[in-house]
Amino acid sequence: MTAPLQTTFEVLSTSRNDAAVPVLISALQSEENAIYQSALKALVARRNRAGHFALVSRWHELSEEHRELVREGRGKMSAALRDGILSDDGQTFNNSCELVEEFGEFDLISTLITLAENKTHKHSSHATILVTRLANRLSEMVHGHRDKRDRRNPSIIRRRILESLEQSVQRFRTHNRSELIEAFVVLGGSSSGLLRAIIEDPRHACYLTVIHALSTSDGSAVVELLLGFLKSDHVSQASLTIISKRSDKAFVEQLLQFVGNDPPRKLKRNLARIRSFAWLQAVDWNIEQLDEADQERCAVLLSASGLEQDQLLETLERLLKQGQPLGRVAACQALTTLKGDGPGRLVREALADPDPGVQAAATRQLREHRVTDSLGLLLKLVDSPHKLVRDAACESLDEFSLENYLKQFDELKEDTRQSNGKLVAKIDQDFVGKLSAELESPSRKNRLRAIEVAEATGMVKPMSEALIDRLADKDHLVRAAAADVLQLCPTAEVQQALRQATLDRSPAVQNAARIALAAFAGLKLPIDATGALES
Amino acid sequence: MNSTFSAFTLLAQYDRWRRLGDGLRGSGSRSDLSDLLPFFIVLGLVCAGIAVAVQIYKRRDFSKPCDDPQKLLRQLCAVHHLNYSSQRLLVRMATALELPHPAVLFVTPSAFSASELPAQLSKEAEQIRQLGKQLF
Repeated sequence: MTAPLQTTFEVLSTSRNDAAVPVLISALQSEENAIYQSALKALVARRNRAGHFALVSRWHELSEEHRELVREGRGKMSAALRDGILSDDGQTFNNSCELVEEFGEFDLISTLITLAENKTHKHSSHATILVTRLANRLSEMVHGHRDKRDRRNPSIIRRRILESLEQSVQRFRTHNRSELIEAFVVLGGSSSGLLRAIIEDPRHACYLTVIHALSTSDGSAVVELLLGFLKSDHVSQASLTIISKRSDKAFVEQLLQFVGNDPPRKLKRNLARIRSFAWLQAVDWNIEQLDEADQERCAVLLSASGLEQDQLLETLERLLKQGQPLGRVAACQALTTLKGDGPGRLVREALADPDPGVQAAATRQLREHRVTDSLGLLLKLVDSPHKLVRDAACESLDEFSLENYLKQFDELKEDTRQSNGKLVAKIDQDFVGKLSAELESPSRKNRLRAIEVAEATGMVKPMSEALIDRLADKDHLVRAAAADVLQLCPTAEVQQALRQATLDRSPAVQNAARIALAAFAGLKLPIDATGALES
Repeated sequence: MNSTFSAFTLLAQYDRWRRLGDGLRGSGSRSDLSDLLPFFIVLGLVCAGIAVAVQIYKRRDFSKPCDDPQKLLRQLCAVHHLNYSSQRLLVRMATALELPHPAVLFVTPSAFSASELPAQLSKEAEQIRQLGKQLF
């Protein structure tokens, strides 16, 4: 562009004389691109309603490059866009709608509502669609999905728009535009008192429309509202029914995330009032398609709900057979809440699951569900290659404890002492610790019995340190018993301790120590060995 | 003329002029408005001068908001250093070409091409061509 022409457009852009606008509008007829483009820029820059209107009415003719220039006027063209919306010219109206949506001109929603309510107006339907779209978009912005370049506060805009929509709700009998009610629902969310009042009042003119919107809308505000119901103290059955009837996957995923892995008591109480979930019978997707974490939450949610036992069992079986590991574990754990043969059968089957977590969950429930030969199964599972399963089996066999064994010890025959003792030593996770404590008991009888237990259970070697300590016991009978039993642990450390014991003041202890050392001699142990010597 | 001058002199030395009638019966309280006529004439001329100056200032002040096509034309002519005769020519061109406003010519280069000129402007064709060259 030449310098004189540039000067002309500088004047036309910046002059405070509004007579520049018609000049610029006439420049839009120029066939020279430089003049056309400069006129566009100047019209955008000038805050003049007529100039902006000229741009709006020509929007459909503009190339993408020229449209980009007009987009610079975002936020400054509201008045012209309002004129465009109210224009009788179809093209100008369409252009305005396109720009309103693109620029997010939410302030024009009230104008659009007025137009939408007037069903006889030729642009009424189009205006209705635009209101719905803008409401959805604003709702998304309020719930975090906003353009960082947009500095407007969506919450403030929402409050203003909601007022217009609430007035439209009051006029519903007149206009009968259900889309406007849906827009109100989408934008209203949990903060709208009117929306809550409508949900609680089946006689309200908008009740059915609102329920339909709540059942189908995937807007963040609607989802937030529905999930909010689950947290409230006094939620109506109607609200819970809406939740139970939603079957779209997006909603279910949000519901599962909301419920989590350990729902609070209030949430559980409300969930227990829901007796069915439409999504369990959804045709377009199934729970096996949920991700692993959601499958886990799904089992938690279903077990907290008031679902019929048969349906719950069937769903948990689906998860157990076709779910992912975490989902299968949670499904197996959820079986705890069920009674009857069905859960027992599933628990038995879950023992064969390839995942140790599922096996462990099933192991913990073997006795609870009275599975046939649960004791035999548990005793086998104590030898499982998976630690998780071994631990679960030991937890379930809590009667196999050292305390119980000690109580019965004196009455048991020698062979039973050994067989039971070996089981107890295997099952009781703290066997060595507890027996070591028993060796330090103030009662001589208890100390002597502990030494016998160590021998009977074959635990002399792991207990060798505590037994060596007993060589210094104040009671010579205990010292002698310890020396006697230590011959079963042929290590250099024990050998050294026994040599010391041969110098004991008690002949009985000396004798026991010598016998033990003699047994060691038979094994031809090196006298000064310091490392552990295996038998 | 001489009496007018004397009156001015006396007006300027009002205290002395007032004392001229001292001692003469009845002359001290009598005053004639016609004596002030020259004063009002001068005052009127000063006001008219100020009004003209304000008008001229307003005409040339392009910083105030307005909706004035003539002023826009003057503003554009001023930035392009066009003289009054060029401005007149632009007005004539706009009339001949039936343009809504002469300022439109500043964004219409085709209006300055010889082939587009209406017959009544054929005499000024060269001047118009020069003007077009200056503006585009």
